[in-house]
Amino acid sequence: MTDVFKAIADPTRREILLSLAKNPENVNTISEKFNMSRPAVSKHIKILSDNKLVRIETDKSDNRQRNCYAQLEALSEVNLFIKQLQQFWESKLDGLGNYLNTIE
Amino acid sequence: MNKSIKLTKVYDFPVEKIWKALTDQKALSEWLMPCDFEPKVGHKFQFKTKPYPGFDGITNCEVLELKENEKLSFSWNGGSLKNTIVSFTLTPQNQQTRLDFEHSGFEGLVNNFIVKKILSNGWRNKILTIQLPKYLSND
Repeated sequence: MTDVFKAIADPTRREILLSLAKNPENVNTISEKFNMSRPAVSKHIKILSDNKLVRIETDKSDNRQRNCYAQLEALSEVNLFIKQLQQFWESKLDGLGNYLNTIE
Repeated sequence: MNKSIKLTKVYDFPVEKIWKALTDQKALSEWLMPCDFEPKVGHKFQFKTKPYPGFDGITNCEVLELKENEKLSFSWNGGSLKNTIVSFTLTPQNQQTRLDFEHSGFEGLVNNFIVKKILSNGWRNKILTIQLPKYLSND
């Protein structure tokens, strides 16, 4: 399946993706967390990775483990948002300095 | 991704003066944004600013920590920001005062953006422009 919409339409896959966005995890951990069989998780992960929403890497210390990482454009939006917020605070704290100069 | 925003400023004024500017409603309203702050732990207050698309201009806060001349922190909830925390820590340096500012708790932001992305950017358009016509034409 190479349809991003379908990949995300499934609530379980959405949950997995959101969980991976917070912390990368391996297939075993995901199956425990979601109380699902390993093959079922692998199937979901495959669909997510076919659609480039998840990247799979073999664990360096244990090559039977596959680590899953969410890769989302949304993250760049978050960074941009935080950058703007930082500029907001920079200017407010400079404003505090100016304010201090104007009062007794 | 940055987990928090950290800024440090040094002001040429004693710590008491900065503390007043941080904890006085009138002062805070002037240099930050209009608010109904009260220097009392647990006090709930709002900052109000001009709304813009996607933000109603209101930030809901609650005073979390108040240590005179040392530390002020309050929660910060508004727009895309939920359960974030803003803190101001003051340290005297001779006749000056160092202010360590931190805005933390952006973990939820990632989720919000992804959910928003899933629900709006592209996804909804795709439902309306591709999936729906496809579905209708199958009829």
